[in-house]
Amino acid sequence: MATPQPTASLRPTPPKRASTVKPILPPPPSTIHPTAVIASHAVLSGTHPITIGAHCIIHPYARIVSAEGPVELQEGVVVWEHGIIEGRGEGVRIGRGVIVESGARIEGEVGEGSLVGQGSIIGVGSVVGKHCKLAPRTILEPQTRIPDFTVVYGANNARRVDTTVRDKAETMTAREKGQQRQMDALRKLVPGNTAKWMT
Amino acid sequence: MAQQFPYTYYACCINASSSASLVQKRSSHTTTADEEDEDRTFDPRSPRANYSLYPLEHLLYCDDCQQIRCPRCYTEEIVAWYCPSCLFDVPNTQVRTEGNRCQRNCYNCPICTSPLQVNPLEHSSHLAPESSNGASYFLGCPYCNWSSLDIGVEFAKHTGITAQLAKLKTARQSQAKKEREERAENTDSNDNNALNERPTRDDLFSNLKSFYKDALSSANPVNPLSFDPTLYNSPPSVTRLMNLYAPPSVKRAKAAKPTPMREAHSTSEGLLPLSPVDEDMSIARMAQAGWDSLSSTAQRSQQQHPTTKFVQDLWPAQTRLLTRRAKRCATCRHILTKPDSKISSTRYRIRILALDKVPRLSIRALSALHTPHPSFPISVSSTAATAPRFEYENLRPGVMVQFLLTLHNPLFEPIRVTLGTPAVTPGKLASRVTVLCPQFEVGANTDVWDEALNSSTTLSSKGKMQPGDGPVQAEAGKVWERGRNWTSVVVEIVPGFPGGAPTGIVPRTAEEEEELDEEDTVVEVPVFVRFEYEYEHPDAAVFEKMREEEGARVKEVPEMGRQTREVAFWTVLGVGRVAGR
Repeated sequence: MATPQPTASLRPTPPKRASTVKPILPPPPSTIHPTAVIASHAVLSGTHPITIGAHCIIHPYARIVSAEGPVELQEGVVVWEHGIIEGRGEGVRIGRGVIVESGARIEGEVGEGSLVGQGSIIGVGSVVGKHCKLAPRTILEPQTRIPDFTVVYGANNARRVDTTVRDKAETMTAREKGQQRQMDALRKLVPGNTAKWMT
Repeated sequence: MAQQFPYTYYACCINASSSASLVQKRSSHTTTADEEDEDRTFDPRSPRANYSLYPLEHLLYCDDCQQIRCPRCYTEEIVAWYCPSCLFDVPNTQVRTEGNRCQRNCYNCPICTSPLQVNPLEHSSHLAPESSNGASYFLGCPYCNWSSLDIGVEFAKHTGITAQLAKLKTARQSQAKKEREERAENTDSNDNNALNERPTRDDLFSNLKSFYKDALSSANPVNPLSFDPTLYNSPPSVTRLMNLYAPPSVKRAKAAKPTPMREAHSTSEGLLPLSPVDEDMSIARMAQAGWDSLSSTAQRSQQQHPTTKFVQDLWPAQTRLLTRRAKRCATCRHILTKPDSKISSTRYRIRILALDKVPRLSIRALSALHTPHPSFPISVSSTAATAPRFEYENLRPGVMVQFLLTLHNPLFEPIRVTLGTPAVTPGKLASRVTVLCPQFEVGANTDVWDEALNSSTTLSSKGKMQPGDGPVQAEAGKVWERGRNWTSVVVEIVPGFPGGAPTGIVPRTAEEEEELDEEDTVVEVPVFVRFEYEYEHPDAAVFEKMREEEGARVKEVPEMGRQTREVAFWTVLGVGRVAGR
């Protein structure tokens, strides 16, 4: 509107292209491997320690919260936009090479090489085994246990054992190779600002 | 009803006899009954009306019959078959010979039905023999991670999956047959010989097919009129001959009763007897592998053999083809819609919608109307924000409400409209209806810019008083407001009393004393819409062109070129719900 606003003119205008995310609280005590890529719009918050392993990629707007417990991301974990990892109780550990797709929320443990689909929710105290796959929008109730090599899919959370990956070593290596290639591409694409969270 | 008030439904196929084929078959008596039916007021409460009312957007229009066409009065025909996975067109002849499955490399997951991908499988160097070139392929599901490796299927090439799968399947079937024979030899069963001859499912199918073919041909000989004397010896031939010479009524009764045929009763005729060996095998397998190894009903329905019991035996299913369909008027066989034959395009070559041919009726309460222009329903004026909203769900019985009925004309010619309503609506809730101006004109659907540029001249005739002079007063016999291609008229409705009128006005009947359900409190007004317009006959344009070429320029189209067309249909306006007493 044309009406003049005197308060706006008094406020100092922020310089262009500056990050709008301002750390209000002191950053959490975190141990971040220098090869990890953390976007500047990603959020690390809380008071418990956060450990981020080598070659991890944290996309913009992903959140890692350690307000209620420590969080540990092992080597090569990828957290996509709006993915949330919340430390609970004695801590949440995300295994090696886990991919947390966009909008997923994790409050439990996830084993090595698993994939958490878009918008999935892993309840408090749940344990997902190694090399599992949760299809998009899977909701695991708190304290759920998913054994290794399980695929959870469909409207009724149907489960099946991924015999292909379990029994054929070739498929496992092919999958790891593909993941490695994806990581290499992401490392170039995601603008990292890891220094911001280094203390 | 989930539908929000107010709404408009268009009626189509009010009489079941509307389709031409039925009309021809009717005897004279029933035809007169139908004519009476046509003259009657359309009753939205009747159970039949449920099947004849549609929103305007769902209807098509037949130019030749000059009538609205609903899904009940058009037929569909298949224009093209295509695979939804690879979007390739499949010719009709191929569909007829090979069935409605994609014959290319499209397969669906037998577990979760998502499309499968062909993935390369690189054998690690110490496992693979060098002759196999180090690589093979498998079908994998990107959703549930099922792969053809689970059932032990690998491919040498990434193309021609169908042929490779068929080869693998026959190899597997012969292997299974051999195993069964070995097992049968080991068990001390009495009917070992029968089990040894156990055919595959495909063999069984062909056996059964040939058995039925023989049975049918013996029941109905191919050519009963040939002079082969042996043909007339069999009882079916005699009955057929009798049919030929019998009077028509007897013939029909005979045709309805098929001659009984015997069923297959051996393996060579396609019968699959229950085998204890097979049953024992599957029970042992179930006990060993558990519940998770059994296929679900949905998974079985996808399979070629719906008796597949185990997940291990599920086979990737070829993708089912989809169709593109054209719609034809059932009466005159003219095409109403025809999609583009190119699969990737979503356009229509022909599409005659009722929306483009028939005026659109919309009704609103007059008191809810604050906007100065009906084209802009979102009002920005401050009065609209403060005024109370009209409650269509809470009409008061016996209190007159004024509604505004607006007709939009989609045609490029001006139309003359006549509206007809019953004075009292049918049904238990007898509401009184008065259309203040039942005959009026609606302007042509001309260029939008014409109106914008000459806005002062178009809104010339108004039957309403100036806003702000107290309560609005509608004048009988005059339209309320008129625009470029729309005209509004006022309809006065006095909602009836649910559960019968109060004593003194109309005496209650026993029917009205019965309990009313929720549907009986809805005020629905049947409106008969008849409109006519003059249009230029296509020949007239040709005629004019000829005259121009000759040099005699004529501005006016000759009278023979212009014709009057008349269209009529029933609509139902749902104006609201009467509040309880």
